[in-house]
Amino acid sequence: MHKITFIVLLLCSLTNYAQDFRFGKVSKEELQEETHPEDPDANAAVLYREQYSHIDYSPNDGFVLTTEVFERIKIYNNDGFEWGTHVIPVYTGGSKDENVSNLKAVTYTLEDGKIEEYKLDNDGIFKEERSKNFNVEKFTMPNLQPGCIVEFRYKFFSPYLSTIDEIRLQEDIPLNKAEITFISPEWLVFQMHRKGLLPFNVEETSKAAKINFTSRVGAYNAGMRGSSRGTLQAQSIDLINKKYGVSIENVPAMREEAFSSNIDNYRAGISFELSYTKFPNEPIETVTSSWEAVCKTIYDSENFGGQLNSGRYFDDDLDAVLEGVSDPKEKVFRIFEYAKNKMTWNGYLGIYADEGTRSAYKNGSGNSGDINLNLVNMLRYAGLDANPVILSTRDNGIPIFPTRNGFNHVIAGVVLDGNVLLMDATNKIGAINLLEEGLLNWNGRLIREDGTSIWVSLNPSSHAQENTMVNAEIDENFALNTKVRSQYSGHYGLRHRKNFGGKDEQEQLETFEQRYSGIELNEIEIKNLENPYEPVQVSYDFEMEHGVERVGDKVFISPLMHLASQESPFKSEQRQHPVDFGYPWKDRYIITIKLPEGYTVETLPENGIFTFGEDMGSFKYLISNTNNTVQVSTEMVINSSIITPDLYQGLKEFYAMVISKENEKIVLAKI
Amino acid sequence: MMIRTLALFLLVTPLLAFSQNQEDFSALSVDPALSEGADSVLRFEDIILDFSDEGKLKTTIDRIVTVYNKTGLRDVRAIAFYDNNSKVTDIEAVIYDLMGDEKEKIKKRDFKDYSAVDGGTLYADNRVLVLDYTPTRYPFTIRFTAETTSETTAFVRPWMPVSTYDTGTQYSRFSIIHKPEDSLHVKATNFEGYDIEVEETPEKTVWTARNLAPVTSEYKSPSFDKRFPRVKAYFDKFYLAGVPGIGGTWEAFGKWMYNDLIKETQQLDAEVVAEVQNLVKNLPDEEAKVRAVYQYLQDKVRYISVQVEIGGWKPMPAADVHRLSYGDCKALSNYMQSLLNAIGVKSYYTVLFGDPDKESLDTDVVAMQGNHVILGVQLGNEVKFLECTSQQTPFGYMGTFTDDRDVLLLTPEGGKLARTTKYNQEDNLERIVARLKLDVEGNLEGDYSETSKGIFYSPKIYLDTKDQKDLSDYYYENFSGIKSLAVSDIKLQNDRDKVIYEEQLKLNARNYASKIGEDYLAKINPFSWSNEMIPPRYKDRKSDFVILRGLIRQHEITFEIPEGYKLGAIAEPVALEEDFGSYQTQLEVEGNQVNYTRTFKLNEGTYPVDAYENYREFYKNVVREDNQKLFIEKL
Repeated sequence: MHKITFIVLLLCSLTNYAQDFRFGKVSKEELQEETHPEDPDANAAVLYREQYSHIDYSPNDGFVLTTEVFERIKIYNNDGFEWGTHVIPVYTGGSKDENVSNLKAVTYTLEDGKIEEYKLDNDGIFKEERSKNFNVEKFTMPNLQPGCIVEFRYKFFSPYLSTIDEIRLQEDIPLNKAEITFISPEWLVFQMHRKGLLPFNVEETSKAAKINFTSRVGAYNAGMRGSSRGTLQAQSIDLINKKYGVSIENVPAMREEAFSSNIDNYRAGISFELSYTKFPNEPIETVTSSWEAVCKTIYDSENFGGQLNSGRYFDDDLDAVLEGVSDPKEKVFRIFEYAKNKMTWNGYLGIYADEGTRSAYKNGSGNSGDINLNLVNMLRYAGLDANPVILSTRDNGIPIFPTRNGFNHVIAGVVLDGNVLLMDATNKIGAINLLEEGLLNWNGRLIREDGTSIWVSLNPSSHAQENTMVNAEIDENFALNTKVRSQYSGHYGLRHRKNFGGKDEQEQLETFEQRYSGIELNEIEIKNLENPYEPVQVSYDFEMEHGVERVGDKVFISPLMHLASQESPFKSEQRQHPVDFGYPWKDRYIITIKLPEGYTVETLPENGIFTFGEDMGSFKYLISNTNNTVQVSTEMVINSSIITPDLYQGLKEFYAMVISKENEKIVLAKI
Repeated sequence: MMIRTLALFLLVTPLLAFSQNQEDFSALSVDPALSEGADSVLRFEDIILDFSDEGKLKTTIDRIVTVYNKTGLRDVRAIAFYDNNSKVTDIEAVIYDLMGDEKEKIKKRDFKDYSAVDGGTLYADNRVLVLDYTPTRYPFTIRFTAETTSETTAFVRPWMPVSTYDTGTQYSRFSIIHKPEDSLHVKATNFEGYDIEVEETPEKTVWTARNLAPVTSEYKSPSFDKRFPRVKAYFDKFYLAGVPGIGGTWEAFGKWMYNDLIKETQQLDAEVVAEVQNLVKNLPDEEAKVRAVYQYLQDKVRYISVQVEIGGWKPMPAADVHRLSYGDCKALSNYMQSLLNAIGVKSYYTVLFGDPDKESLDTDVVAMQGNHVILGVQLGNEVKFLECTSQQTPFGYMGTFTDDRDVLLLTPEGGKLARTTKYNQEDNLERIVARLKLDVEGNLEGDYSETSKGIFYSPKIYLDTKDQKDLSDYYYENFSGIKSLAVSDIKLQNDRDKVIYEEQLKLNARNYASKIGEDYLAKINPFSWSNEMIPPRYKDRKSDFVILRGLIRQHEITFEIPEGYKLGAIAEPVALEEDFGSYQTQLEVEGNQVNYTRTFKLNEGTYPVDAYENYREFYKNVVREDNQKLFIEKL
């Protein structure tokens, strides 16, 4: 029985045309395909991707990484033409350069039932020197037509062995088949990193190999007595090569979605990083392997740990800042504020100091390493338990594997009364435990002076909060005269400082009017934009002409006025990736409306409470009427900054209910 | 003692030299009239263009800018471009602090050297030296000096003492030096009301402007060119990347361009010529033939920007375009012309500015201008323009990127000025028709269709490229005023012959009507405009406003209410009529159904600043009337 099934399956797969994934073996069937069978909307598809990376020994260059790339790409329509242009980054400027060779590429089209080939010539290949150490090699394929197939292959040599950059196993178009192979000699031990939501297998095997080389035997240089060049002798060493293989098929396309963090976090891919070397007759030299080891390596670097012991050039300045202060909390505060004002960030991120802490302190500017390692230094000088915390910004993706390259920013962490206070002195409007939104990316790694390290959470535990009080009066012409006072704390405060800081009143007014379309502010006053430790306070007043509607002798009032959301950000039917709010938040509104003379309330919206998930979010709506004054209070809370796709439908429903409730109306009738 | 004196002397000299220009480097000495509301102030600028050496242009720049904030950094412009035909001989920047004391000097080797290729270009040989400086304190002052030499004299950079928004100008001087026998032609505009001096000798002209207050950007204001002082200049003879050129008149200029840049790039292989001839041999008339060739082009090529030959001004040879099936606007227009030559149809390589603001070539300035190329085809007495870089654009369609502007046609007889297709108010039509039905639960359901013509057509083409999910997301975004919306049965029809785009779909909105007790309140027009349509408010607007293109936007809706309900009072019809536009609504009850029509029109024109508040008021009224509601009572 089992056998029969097997044969049937075999037959089925044979009826599909067999694809030959060798360069030049493009079939008519592949060219005839009009749309992708699994994803008819796709503009193009990677039919086959092959990457073969191997590290070999060459007598002249030592160990060299060679990567052989071959791809076959189907282009279904004009929008897929972008897949006819490819860019290869090439790093130069070291003692040896990377380079591309043996580039061969062909466009295949079907013309009158015949396969035509158009070769890429030199006039389609461009070398561009982007900057001193970074070139790109680009090529664009000739004669692209809807339905065509392009193939290219090339060899890429690199003297840099520490990483095999991420090999994508998933693209924004479907990927039908990929074969990835990486071979390295046993002496170079690599850590493999897998990424993405898609499962795939990696086959690891070993194979005996031999390195042949010639060496000079008997060479000596004996000073006064002359020298001998010795004799050349062929030698060989036996070794084991380790091979990693990934074979993956039918990978669906990635799609962009609103409210996502960096979607590259979810893309399937594989990369390798050198973790240690063990050459014959030599001790093990660790590069990376575990988070501990990674952090130790980073700490041991001259531009990181080295900067934390680089003398006390700021002693006198800091003594003045700390004069008379004994409370450790106050010390942290003063030092952080001092560091923020003393140095300006030059816009470059990095975990390592670029100019050096001393010089950055003196010049008043530097990269994030320069500034925050300075901050750690100063905090330690004041006797605080301060350490650097390395992290990866949202743009950079989440550091899922222990890798030195996964981190791109460093901040300072102080342990005080068992809590970790996080600080980033590159952000002038930031506060203690209030980091720029782009930094709220899962965990950071705190590295202690002895090189040991632990994870600390970067995601804020406290809610960003808005508290708004509205006092409104409806006059005899049915215009709404409204006074509003709002307070924004936590990340809301930070966001307001960013959006409103340095703007004059006119610009602040315009920005606010854009946020709440349809209101024209008479006056606006914003307080605490400079002081990140207090909530931002905004007061304004406005008249709203169409806040009140009259139909016949009835009057309709939208009690949330400009605060009611008009549309849900979640309109799509489906969701692939988590919704990422960045931080938990809570919006509270209390609105008091004095009704016009001569009218009475006919209908009032009902009170309501909606919840979402298990304590993930809630919305409360309470309304009452006393002596012709209506009071509404609402509270919307999201407790979890990340909402996984399985909860998306619930979130969408929740938002729809909230928005519908926020837009309900009070009906007045003439007495 | 001697040494000390010398040191003092050295220190003092540059300051003295500078003070002749009435300048110092401290931000404190800026006139508040120039810095109020400004992100930066141009304290001093001296630009010298020296054409006295045949075939060479030496440009010397000396600029001192005080920067008040991060936005003001863009006004420093410490940047110099170079390529195979030009080089930067000198470049330096010096930073001064608030008090005017020197803080830092940045030498040539510390400038960053990049390739100046923008995102849309695959390759160009232009490079750029740019200052990478992090200010630690604002305000600060920077002096930037640079000298470049070039073998291109075809572009005389214009002088714009007010060059951008939110920056004041204290002093700006602009000199053009040339051989007396090369007469300089000048077009100077909008000098009125500004303190500007001109000195002229046979070999040198110098313009000097003082104290120009900053201006703020305003919505729909006339272009910079039309508002602020500007000098444009040209010579009758020039060099383009070392190649000599002749101008003087558009005729001569066009002849030179045609002969030296275009003509020799048009050869096609005999078999290609035969293929095209064969393609059109049975077609009845010239237009049909040109259409067929245009379709052939659109099916064959794609747009790839590669800028190499003669500073990016010479098209890639037509034979190469045929072989590679790609090229930029020059290459593709030129290739199309070569194809038309093969079938004996006259056409003209056409140079213009491509942008949505209808920027024309300045017809008074006979010089290299423009940033785009299209092809004009002679069909009878008419010239039809073809956009050759797009695979979707219908035959002869211009859209807002190339419509209604002055362009230069290159003909074998010489250059000729022409104007591209204009879209009038009645051409630009967006028409929405919906048949909607409310059920007893307050849900709305119905059919929607939208027809787009004229300038409304081109944005719709992109719908063709969207997949089903992106397409429904597009409608959710577009109909954002309708909550809990679901769309289905989306049908798109792109009629490229008539240049009409039609969309059809079914929509369903849960809880569309708000329940009030037993009754319902519902907007009659679900596609009503929201407050976001209202133009921005200015407490003190300075500029006129421009409506670049007239247009009509219509809604026709039938709205049926459920059984067992009756309609409350119905809103009165509205008719607003202004110089710049009009708005009308009509409501008519027919049994259980309301027929609603609404027509919004804008009239092309430039309107005085005084009318701006009225323009806003007009939009406010439109939004209010658009959002009229029906009260639907239970019987």
